[in-house]
Amino acid sequence: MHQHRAWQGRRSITIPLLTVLVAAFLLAAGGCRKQKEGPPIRKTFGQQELLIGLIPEQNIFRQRERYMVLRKYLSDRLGITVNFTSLSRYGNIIDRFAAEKMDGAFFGSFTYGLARRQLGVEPIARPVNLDGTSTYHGYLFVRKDSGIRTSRDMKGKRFAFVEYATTAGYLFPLSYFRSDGITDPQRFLGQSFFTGSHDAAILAVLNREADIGSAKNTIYDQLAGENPRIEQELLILATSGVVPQNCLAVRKDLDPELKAELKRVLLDMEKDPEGAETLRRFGARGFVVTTDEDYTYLYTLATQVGIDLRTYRYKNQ
Amino acid sequence: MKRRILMGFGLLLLIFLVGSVVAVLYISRTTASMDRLVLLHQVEILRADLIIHIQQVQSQLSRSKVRSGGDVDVLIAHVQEMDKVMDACIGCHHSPELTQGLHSMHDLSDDYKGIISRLVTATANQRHIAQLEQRAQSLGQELIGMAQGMSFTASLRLQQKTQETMASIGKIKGILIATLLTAFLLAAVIGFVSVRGLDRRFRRLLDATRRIAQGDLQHRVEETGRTDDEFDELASAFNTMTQNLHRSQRQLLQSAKLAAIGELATNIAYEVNNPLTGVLGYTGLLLKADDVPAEKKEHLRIIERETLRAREILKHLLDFSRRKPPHLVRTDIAGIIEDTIALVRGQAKVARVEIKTACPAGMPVVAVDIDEMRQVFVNLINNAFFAMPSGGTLTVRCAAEQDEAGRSVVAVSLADTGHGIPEDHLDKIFDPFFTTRPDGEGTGLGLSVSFMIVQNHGGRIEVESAVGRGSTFRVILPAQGGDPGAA
Repeated sequence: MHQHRAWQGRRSITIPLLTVLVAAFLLAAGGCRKQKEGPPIRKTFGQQELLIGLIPEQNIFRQRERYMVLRKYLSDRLGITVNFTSLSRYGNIIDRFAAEKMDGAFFGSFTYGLARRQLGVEPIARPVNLDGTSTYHGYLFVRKDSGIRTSRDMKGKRFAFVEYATTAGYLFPLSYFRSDGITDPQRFLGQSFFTGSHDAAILAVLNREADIGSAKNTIYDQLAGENPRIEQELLILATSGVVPQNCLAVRKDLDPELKAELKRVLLDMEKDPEGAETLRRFGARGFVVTTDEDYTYLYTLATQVGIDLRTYRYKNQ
Repeated sequence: MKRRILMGFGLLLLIFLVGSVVAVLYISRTTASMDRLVLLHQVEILRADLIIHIQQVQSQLSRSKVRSGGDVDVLIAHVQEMDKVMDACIGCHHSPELTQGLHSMHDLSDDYKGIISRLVTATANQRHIAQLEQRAQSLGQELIGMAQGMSFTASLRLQQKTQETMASIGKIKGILIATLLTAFLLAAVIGFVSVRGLDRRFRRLLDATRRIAQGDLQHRVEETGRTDDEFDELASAFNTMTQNLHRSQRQLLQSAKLAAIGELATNIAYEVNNPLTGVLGYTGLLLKADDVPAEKKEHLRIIERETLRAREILKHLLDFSRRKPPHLVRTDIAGIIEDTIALVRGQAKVARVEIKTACPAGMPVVAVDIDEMRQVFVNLINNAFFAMPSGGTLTVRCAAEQDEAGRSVVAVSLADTGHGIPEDHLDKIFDPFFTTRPDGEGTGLGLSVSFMIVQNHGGRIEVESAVGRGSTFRVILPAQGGDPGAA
């Protein structure tokens, strides 16, 4: 009681004092927070802009929206302007990468293989999908009612490839035939054509425009989710090994400091609240380190089917 | 009048209020539809914008460079612009049919974007690519057609809405003009009626004032008898004022007349008294003389008697003119009345007059000379007896009243059931020597003496009479505060 009174007696001084202390603490905390939120330490890199190419995905507009989210975060954290530009799949990606002086690109597995071998790009990191995957594989499929179950059954049948520069849509089926001793699929098959996209290859088989097809598992699963006929009418005959999906690789002569910083920012994103929010909007769990070793399966496939990635020049049909 | 003016203004206010409220309602409605018009125009601009963006996407698509990669960014930018405009369109509030149209347009645009994406991402199979391109172009055209169709519908609605708004504005104009006109007309009517009414009434009062100024104190302003009319009240007050003025003037005149007559009478009395003294002296001597025959002495006695009568008249005259100041005593008037009636009771019996008294004790005190006041009442009672030669009733009433100035007075009324006083005598009854009695029965000084006495007490005598029904005399004396007896 006595103590309470004493406290009451000093309240007139205590309250303003407390207020000042709390205000000071809040200011200090706010200051700290601000420092943490802003770009860590502004480093002066050899360049003020980072131009990163994007290989168009199924929906180029949605893809652009996603990467705009990432662009802001990277620009803030790196302290330099990050820009994205879309690379068309048509024509020679490698030539355009060099011609447009890009600093890096989110490559597909096959295009990475080419860029690695021809330009020496260095992989940094790749996004982990919300389902935890960061790799993909190829499917080789037929209609259930086609009766085709082995490579032998495919003789004289129609094959829907995706295009020359795809792992799942071209390298994997070629390797499938070769492992069964079929070295010249063009002659073995009755007819083959390129659909130009993974979903088109799947739909071609589903709609009996082709008897066999191959495509990425990601697109296949997505379509299967939207169209129950795929599950009901198609049969997967073979599955390929895994390759990294959509990896960011940079030109070999990029400022090593900037490269290291870029890698650090991407890998630490999930630990930072703002980074986590960016990831949520980007549609990924985080980024994982990616090295050239992760592409071993791709190189094996290329070797198997006799493609030399260093000199491979293709023209789509 | 006041009420009518207030009611008029109230009505005017009401018309303004109703007009204003209706106008404000219309204005707010019109403002809302104007806002809607502006919005519709904005939407129209948005729609035009949308068509331009779709056309830009279309033209971008038709360039072969898109697929070679250089212009994908430009294409994406155009589509993003197109999306933004479409989202803005959907974001606005629309009618259900329009919203449905916008949603189906949005779905179509999603298809369009899907095809564009596939076209851009397709890398092989020229036939497939050509098909995609064709499909994209036709979807784009469909989108443009749809936007144009909606634009046409919207412009129709815009036109309709504009016409509605213009009609509404016209209505507001009409209401405002009607309100102003009605209010103006009403104000004019109210003003005219009020001014005319006031003018008529003022003219009446002015006329009355003029006539009174010219001396016509008997003129009265006509009263309508309506209690809610302030002018009637004014007229009534005016009439009361005139009446009082008239009475005061009459009393003043009476006093002046009495004073003049008094002075004349005094002079005459002095002058006549001396010769009369001589006549009386010598008549006395002759009556005592032995050499005057008895029959002559009879004549001398007649001379002596008549001379004495003349002296008596002269004495009355002197009494009348040389009034001594009254000896005022605070008393209850009822006592004086009672005493007076006791004095005349025998006489009443002879005259077969019944006297009724209603003078309760406890009346306000008056300050009077008791002898003089008794004389006044005796005079009035005698007059009443005279007015009822074949008997009747005399009613004496005392009452505490308030005069016009609000002072408290005591009024004693004596009402007889006699023959009454003709109207042409009413103005003269208080004049000295005016009498209707046969020669020798009255001096004609009773009422004028009474009038003077009461006037000396600060009071007055009023009379009301109707021939054949009787007269009422009212003696009005100022009341004094306090108890009787205190001088």
